[in-house]
Amino acid sequence: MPDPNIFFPLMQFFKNKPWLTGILIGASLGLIIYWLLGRESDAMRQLKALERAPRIVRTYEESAVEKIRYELTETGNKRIVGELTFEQKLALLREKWGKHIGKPYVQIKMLEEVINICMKERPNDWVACANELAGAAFPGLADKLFGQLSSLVRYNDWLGRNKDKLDKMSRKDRQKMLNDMRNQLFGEENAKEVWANELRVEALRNTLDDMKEAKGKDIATKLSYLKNTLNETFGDQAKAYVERHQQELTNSVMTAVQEDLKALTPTQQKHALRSIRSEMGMDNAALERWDTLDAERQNRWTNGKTYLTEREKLMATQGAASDAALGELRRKFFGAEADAIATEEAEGFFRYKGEQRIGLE
Amino acid sequence: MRKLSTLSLLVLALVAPAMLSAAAQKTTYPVVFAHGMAGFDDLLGYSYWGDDYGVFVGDPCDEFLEVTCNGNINSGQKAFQTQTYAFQSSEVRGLDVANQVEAYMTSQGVSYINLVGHSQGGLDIRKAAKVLYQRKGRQVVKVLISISSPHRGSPVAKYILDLGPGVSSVVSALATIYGNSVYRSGNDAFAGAKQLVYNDYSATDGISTGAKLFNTNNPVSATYAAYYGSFVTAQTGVSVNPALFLLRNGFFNIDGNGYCVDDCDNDGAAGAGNGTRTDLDDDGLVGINSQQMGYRLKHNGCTLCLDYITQDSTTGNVTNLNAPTSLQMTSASSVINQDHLDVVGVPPDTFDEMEFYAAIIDFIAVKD
Repeated sequence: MPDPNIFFPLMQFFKNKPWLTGILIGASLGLIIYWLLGRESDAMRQLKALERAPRIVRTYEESAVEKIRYELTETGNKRIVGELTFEQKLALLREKWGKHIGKPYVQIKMLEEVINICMKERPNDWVACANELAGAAFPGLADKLFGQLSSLVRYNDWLGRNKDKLDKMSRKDRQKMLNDMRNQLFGEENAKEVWANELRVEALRNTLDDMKEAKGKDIATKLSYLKNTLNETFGDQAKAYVERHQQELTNSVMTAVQEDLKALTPTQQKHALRSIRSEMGMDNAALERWDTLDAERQNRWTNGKTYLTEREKLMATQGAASDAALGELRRKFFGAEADAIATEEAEGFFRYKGEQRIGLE
Repeated sequence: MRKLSTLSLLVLALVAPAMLSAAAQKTTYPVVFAHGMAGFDDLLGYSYWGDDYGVFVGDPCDEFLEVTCNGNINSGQKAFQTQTYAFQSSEVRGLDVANQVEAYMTSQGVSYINLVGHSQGGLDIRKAAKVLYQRKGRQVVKVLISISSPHRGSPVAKYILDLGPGVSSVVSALATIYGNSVYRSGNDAFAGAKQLVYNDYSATDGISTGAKLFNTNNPVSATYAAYYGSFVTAQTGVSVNPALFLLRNGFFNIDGNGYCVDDCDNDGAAGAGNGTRTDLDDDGLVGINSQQMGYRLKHNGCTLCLDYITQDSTTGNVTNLNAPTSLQMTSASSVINQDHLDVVGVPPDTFDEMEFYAAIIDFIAVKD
């Protein structure tokens, strides 16, 4: 044990120079903060270690793929029982992803699955584990997959570090920053394929915004503009995309041209609604069902507006209308829905107070 | 409805490499997804019901050589995502969801529907199920599933309304969690937050609000839906999404696994704390004692095969949302170890949204 007296001169030295003590404490704190902020994430540390010393691709016997025990789920899907061997994992990865593994999006999705497996099995070595498994499953693409893995680890690390900054940005600025980083890490063409869907939806969203803003153009012109965007953005898959997202698109179009719809006469409105829905791929049977629902909704709103007028009259004549009188009025106009309407009113919400959104409610 | 008990599961030994039946079964009726408090395409700018690359979980691979789709679901699966008002009460949002479901059913020509809601979306779909019943005069919803929903309130909502430490304004706190869409005209951040407090937040604002009242008016009932189920999420430590800043920055950690019928510790959610805030009792926004509705569901991971969902047999059925049992409020059984935003498409996370929702669709296929 050192003699405590040997520290005495040192303590005296600092006691006489408080400014020096302050500088030293400040510098130490600065170094600690710098180290904390600048230290690498575990993922990056693992990735760099792998890049410095690449592992030899693990060898395995194709013929050693053993029997896999399955049980069937209630819906007939096969569920695996017990631990999988390395070879079994390779067989299953090829089975699941092999058909389209040449596509960058599929490569990334496959790598995500492999990462998830490895994070559980080798939490301190999951990057190398993922590289090993992916490379062995698709040896012809091993280098490409390592490149994708490296980009993905770096991108997620960057995303985690910049989340706060990104969240505070406007949508357009954020998208630009994300795209720039994706292009930088994955390469422009590669990134375009990985985030293909996001880019296409973004283009569609911009067109819908333009439709909303465009003044002096009729609905038919706006619809034609939308169709052009769909064809340009989705190409051969445009029809399939519209079919699959028919209702989401129809709702978006109704919102984008809402002011135009409101400016039309009821007959013109009916025609415009049919035309929009028809452009969105609805057949005659669907259009007829819609005619019925449009009429039903119109009745609801007419009834609701009349109720509000009557309610106002009641409030005016009685000062504050009694619960019983209001209840009676609601039952007269809404029948079985009267209690629900009363609940909404207690929360300050009046269903029919605003303007009806044509084609949407 | 196809009914098969677990006893009927067959255990087989097959010679590999066997063909895995990879895709979830197709549901009889379409599945509608209802988002949480913020608008679905504005949740911090990321796709809500999608993976981290903007692909919707309900998009089947039904085109030749199509790859940006969910290969885990049947190629004929029908799904739709609603987009309702951000930051509003569930009375307002639920009615709008009902309108959109009604529209979708009309376009598709279907008589029934299944509903899946995340966070506040889980409350919205209960209201929607009731509205649809009242309009059609019959039950319209077959399966109704909530994920991480604050059925009995969220302490974070009250903490924000109370302007607790770390919160300078209600609107900016919600914007930090959910993104700038809160600033859009027509959104009512206060109405949204008050909805998620268990009791009526203010006796002087002239309106009645809160999850307790909402549960009374929009109950779990066989009249409105044939099956109710819910997923419970919770996570400990600082690995939660940065958007959940109150927990991440150490301002506030929910103590969400103590039992009490009402909000006995006045934290904004029914139940009480058990004295330990750092255990697996909340997902950063909602405590586990708030999340169970109907049956608790379990997400079972399956390595390189489709994940699957089972009904938890230990916690029973929450039929009265305002009076669950002690076990239902405190049990960590089947809790999904993820934060509130991991289960939707907000990166970065390692959660496989495509497979999770495919497993849910597979489960619904058995029930509808």
